Amino acid sequence: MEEKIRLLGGDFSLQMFITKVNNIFVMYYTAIMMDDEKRVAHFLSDEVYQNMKDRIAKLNAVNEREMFDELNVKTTEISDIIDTDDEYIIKVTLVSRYMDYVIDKTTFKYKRGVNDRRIEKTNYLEFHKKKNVKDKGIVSKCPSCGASIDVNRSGHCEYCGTTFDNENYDWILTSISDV
Amino acid sequence: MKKKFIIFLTVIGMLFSGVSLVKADSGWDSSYDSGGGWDSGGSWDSGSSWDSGSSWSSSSGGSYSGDTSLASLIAFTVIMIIVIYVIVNNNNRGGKGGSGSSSSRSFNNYSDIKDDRLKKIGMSADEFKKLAFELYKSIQNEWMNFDYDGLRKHLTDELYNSYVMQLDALKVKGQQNIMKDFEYIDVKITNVTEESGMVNVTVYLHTAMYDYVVDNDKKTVRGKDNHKIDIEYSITFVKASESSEEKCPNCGAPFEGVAGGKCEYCGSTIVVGPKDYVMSKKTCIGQRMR
Repeated sequence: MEEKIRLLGGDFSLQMFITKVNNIFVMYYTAIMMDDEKRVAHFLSDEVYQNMKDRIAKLNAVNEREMFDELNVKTTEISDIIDTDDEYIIKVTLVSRYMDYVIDKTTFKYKRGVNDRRIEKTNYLEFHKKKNVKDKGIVSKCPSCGASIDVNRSGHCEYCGTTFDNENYDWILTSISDV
Repeated sequence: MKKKFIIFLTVIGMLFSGVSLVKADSGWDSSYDSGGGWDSGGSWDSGSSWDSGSSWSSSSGGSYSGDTSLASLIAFTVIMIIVIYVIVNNNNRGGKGGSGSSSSRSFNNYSDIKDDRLKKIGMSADEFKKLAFELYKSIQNEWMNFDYDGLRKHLTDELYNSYVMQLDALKVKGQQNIMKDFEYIDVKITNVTEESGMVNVTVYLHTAMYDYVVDNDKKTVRGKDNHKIDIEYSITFVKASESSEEKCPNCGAPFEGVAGGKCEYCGSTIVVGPKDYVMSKKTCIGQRMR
């Protein structure tokens, strides 16, 4: 694996990448829980984002909220690195712990699931990064209107509403599943 | 040998008693995990030397089954034998510390590094250890008080985003994680690295505190408000290894940067490494209830 990590270039930091993965993972599930998919949109591929929206829509249709309570990442490991012509792909195995249950959105009443102890789940994630990505620079500006934006905070320009598309700058989550 | 036997009996006893863990701590790193066993009086978090590596609360399918009254009776008997043995043993040795005293025994064998890596930190080892503990306490208090501005100053961008979303979820449930009376037990510097323009300092931190969750009526809903927990962490702090930008690259104004800071004059968001140490990672590696 160390040889494969070298393919990613001298700027790649394994520790920073693992931290990024863990935080995107937590944000992904918290966004589902909070009906706030826009907060993580800039970290996700279009397909993953759409799947998330569909999942939230199904829950809203029956007035339910899926809780991933006290969500935490236990372990994160890179399982494979693939070097293609135009991008790098990193596959990750992540073990998480959380209470997984569903409540009524209005009454907060418990409906089903495990809400008294955390259960452990294994998740499979895939991240892609284009080769020859653009340099974000140290001043974050909206690519659409030029306003100053805090990409790491929301990825949204408060002025024109454009989502800062991380796809051309950084790693994005292209696949997520659990066992 | 005796110690291992006690551990074995405790493990067996707890398996039958259907211990469930409750979770707390900023970022939910610990299991009421931070100590766990709020219901039963003790449990072992993943990563501790007492545990094989998996949390007692974790199971891929659900609750503990087969919890018969006979099994519970066996578990109770085993635990009582252990308790009596420990009490008798301590009394015979004139053991120090009565009930409620802190244990100075570490659950993990971490030691301070002593080599040239320490020079990268930018201050003495003792100064950094004190800073690390103060930062840890600040972050815990900010988590408890939903102090987003405070957290912003003390966390990396990515960790901050995670914490904010987790706190928002806590708000939805109408709950608050109370943490207080932190004790400084031990801090060791276990690694220092420098990569991608950042200095990373990893510490082992051992503390004890009250840790529980209350609802809107301040009623304790998870954890115990009258028992401290002993908890050990591996925490990583980072800062920019070179001096950060002194002036805003957009307008040239003097810039006192923090992670993801904004220029006070033109409002530009400046993405630079943090000038002061911030927390980038926190993992619970051991816990127990006192």
